[in-house]
Amino acid sequence: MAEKRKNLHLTIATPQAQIFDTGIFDATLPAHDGLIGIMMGHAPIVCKLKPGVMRFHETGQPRVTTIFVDGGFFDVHENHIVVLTPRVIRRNEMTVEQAREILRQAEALAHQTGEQAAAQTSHLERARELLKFIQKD
Amino acid sequence: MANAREIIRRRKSVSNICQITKTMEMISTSKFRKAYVKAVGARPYMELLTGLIQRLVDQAENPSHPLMLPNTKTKKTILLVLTSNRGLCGGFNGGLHRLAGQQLEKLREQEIPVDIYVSGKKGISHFKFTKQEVARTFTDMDEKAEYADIAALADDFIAQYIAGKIAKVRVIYMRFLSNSRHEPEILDILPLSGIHKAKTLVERQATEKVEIGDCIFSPSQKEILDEIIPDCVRSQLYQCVVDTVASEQGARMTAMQAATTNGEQMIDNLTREYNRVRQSQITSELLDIIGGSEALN
Repeated sequence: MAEKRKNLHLTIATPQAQIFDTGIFDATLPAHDGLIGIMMGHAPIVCKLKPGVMRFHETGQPRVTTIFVDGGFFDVHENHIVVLTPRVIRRNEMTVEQAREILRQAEALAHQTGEQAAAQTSHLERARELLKFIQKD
Repeated sequence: MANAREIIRRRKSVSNICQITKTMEMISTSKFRKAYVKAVGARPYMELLTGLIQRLVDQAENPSHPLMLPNTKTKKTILLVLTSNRGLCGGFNGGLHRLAGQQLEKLREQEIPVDIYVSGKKGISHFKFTKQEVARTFTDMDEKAEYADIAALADDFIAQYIAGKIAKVRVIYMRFLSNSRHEPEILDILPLSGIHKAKTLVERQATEKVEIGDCIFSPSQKEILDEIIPDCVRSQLYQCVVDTVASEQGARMTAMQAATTNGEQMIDNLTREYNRVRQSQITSELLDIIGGSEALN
């Protein structure tokens, strides 16, 4: 119990399922304006996420866990991190080829109007981040 | 007493039906397992989201968001009735139709214009039978429905609400409680319910001393609310759909279980009756033979 109080608690949920509900030492999240690190005693914050890689150090685990979060937002409140994201991708869930295909599809998107171009840019950014994440082994 | 051959024919047909119900029970058991995982899996997201919005609303000085405020321009209500595509699931659809009928009556009494949206073939045929006009129908909100499809429908509702075309979206669905327990329920997804019941900060400050939380919002509170409130509407609608699907499979499982048990009992009874008939037939034939041979003597 004493050890539990020393740690942060992380909950990651998608609309379909709760992915993680575990104690962690620290976490790095892809906020909309850059990476943000959260440790014990962090001030309450509600922040938007952009698609990118999230890292966290689970208690009792020797390695850092890395996952891809597809946007959404997170909330830190009383040493509890809640990540609400539309989708979570683990490295073994996708092959490099699949990630490349997503990038190709993003490149092929229409970008004539300003709105389309903005949508394509965000799709491209997401696909590049995803490919980078899948390729890193 | 019935003819022995007739009883055999009946027993055969009952055992055929039993086979069907047994198979359906097995199919719905496996479908139920999948639907259960979906329905239970969707809950944490919605609960965490609702909790977060509640906290934001509690802490915000001006927590109003267009989707939380009532729409005064119109009175029009969308009544979305979620039913199943297939039957043989006991009183599942009946319960939903009854609740929908009561709601429609209430709304009509208050002279509120209603657009009925129906999902599921059973609901569509019910409204056709009762000769009520239906604005839109869906048959794809079953166990294969994906979050994205339902989110698209929710976005359509949100767009109509923002444009001031509708004042309320009310969903009639089957709330999933446990394997064999489910209840028809009403949920208003627009304006967002379950949140605004709490007092706003301004109201709370009038009666008690409340400190404004020093929470950091990035990029800004407004942008975050703009993002999470529509998301909450989407996930509420998704929860309604997955709950209904899980309840449907649960209801079918229970109904088919009962049908199989009843069928098996019927087979037992018919077998007993057949044996009795056969025995009396043999006895009467024997009596005939004995009587005949005695007459010859």
